[in-house]
Amino acid sequence: MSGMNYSASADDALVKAARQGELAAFEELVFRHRDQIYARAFSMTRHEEDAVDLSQEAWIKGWQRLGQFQGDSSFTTWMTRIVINLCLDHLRKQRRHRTDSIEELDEDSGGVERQMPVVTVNPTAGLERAELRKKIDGALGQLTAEHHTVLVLHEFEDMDYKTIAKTVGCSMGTVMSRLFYARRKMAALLADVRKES
Amino acid sequence: MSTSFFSATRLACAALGLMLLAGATAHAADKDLKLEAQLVVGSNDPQTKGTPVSPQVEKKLKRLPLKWGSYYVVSSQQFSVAKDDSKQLLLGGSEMVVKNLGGERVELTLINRGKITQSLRKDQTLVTNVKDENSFVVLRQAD
Amino acid sequence: MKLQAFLDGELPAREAREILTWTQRDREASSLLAELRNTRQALAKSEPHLSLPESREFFWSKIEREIQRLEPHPVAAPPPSGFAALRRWFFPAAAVSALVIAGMIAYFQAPTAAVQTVADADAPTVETTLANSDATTYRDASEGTTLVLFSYAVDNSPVKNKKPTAIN
Repeated sequence: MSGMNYSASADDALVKAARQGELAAFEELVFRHRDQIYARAFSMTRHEEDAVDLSQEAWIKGWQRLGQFQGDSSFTTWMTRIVINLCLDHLRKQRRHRTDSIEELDEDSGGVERQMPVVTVNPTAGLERAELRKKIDGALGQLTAEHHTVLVLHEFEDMDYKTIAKTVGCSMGTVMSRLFYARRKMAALLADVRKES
Repeated sequence: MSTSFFSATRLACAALGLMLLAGATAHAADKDLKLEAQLVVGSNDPQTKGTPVSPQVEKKLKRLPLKWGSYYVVSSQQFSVAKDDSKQLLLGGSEMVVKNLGGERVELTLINRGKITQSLRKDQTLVTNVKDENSFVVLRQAD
Repeated sequence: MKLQAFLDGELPAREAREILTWTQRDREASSLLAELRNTRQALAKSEPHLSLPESREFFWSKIEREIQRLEPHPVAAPPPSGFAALRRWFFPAAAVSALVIAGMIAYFQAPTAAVQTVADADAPTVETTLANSDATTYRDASEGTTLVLFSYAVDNSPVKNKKPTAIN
């Protein structure tokens, strides 16, 4: 074991040490970024237990693939991609066992969101940040997996349509229609929440 | 000629040194084991009163797949056990016997429960549950 | 959805200009664009902050256990070149003294198990006393901790010993 002070070391130094087999350096990386990776897994799966398991699996894969990390993105970005792919695999497996509802099929085909009235008042104006986060989280939970996935990937991961389509394994048209629906649905949900509060 | 003579001398000196080292190691393996057995309880209640375990033990326990957030010492005993000898202990109502098998290996027998045979070098710790789900015996070499 | 693509910067410049002109003339398009923009801004500021609902140690212990289960035994790093000179002394000496040490061990110690690997020597052997009881072991190699959990059913009649289940 090296005499390295892991808690004071930058991520790239820890990655370098971890690549040389220092598990304690990797542990420090896990400690630092576990919440972020878990949060991404939760935003994709909307299920706490699955998110814990998937983020754990992502860290294990991260350790195994450290040799492939080129440093052209930050370590957390790289780890986030790993957990996203695991979540997508997980969601695909779930989807195979699920019966699509008529509403979901209609959402995918792009009919429903056109019927929603436009929300003219900004429903989140004046809200405290913590309150807004809570409302966003609640609204995200009401979207289907397909919709909150594209929303998360576009809004939180800054992926463009083409990258989302490639990552998720669907056409760009499907990405656009799901994103459109998800945004319109979020606006409606946030407006309802605002009315109630 | 001088090269081969020099090599033979080196060989002999190194062999002698290693034999002495081996002898010392064998002797160390046969000496008495000085051990510490602690009965600890786990708790998730922040109001629990008691003596917390040492930070060293706490670190080890917290890495285990147990549900307790804090650990407290109920009782503790330090004792020496000669090679092939046994020591009977009563910790918090739980009877146990610790036997020194030599080579820094011990056999821990929990009466009416079971027996664990395990190496117990200075860097090793053995933890096992006793009667209650939150009671554990922590056995290691004493500092 | 062209409005959305315009908002997200996904349109080529010419098309983007056309959409912009349209929103300046058409009130409904302008309202919809505003709605999409508000939602995007709300999301941009407000990604939910979540904490992993497990302690650091517990979460890491599961990862570490799986890493150790999946990894082959590490190959020792090659010795630094400065050690090369010592090797001329050490290897032939080690060969001779190994024979001597083996003889001493055989003489002083009772013949028990055969030579064990480091991993086998550290693994506990567990025997249970009671009927319908079981034992589960967990080993944390980096801290050198072994946990043996005995589990018991109600029936306490003595029975033959059972093999423990290793978690790792």
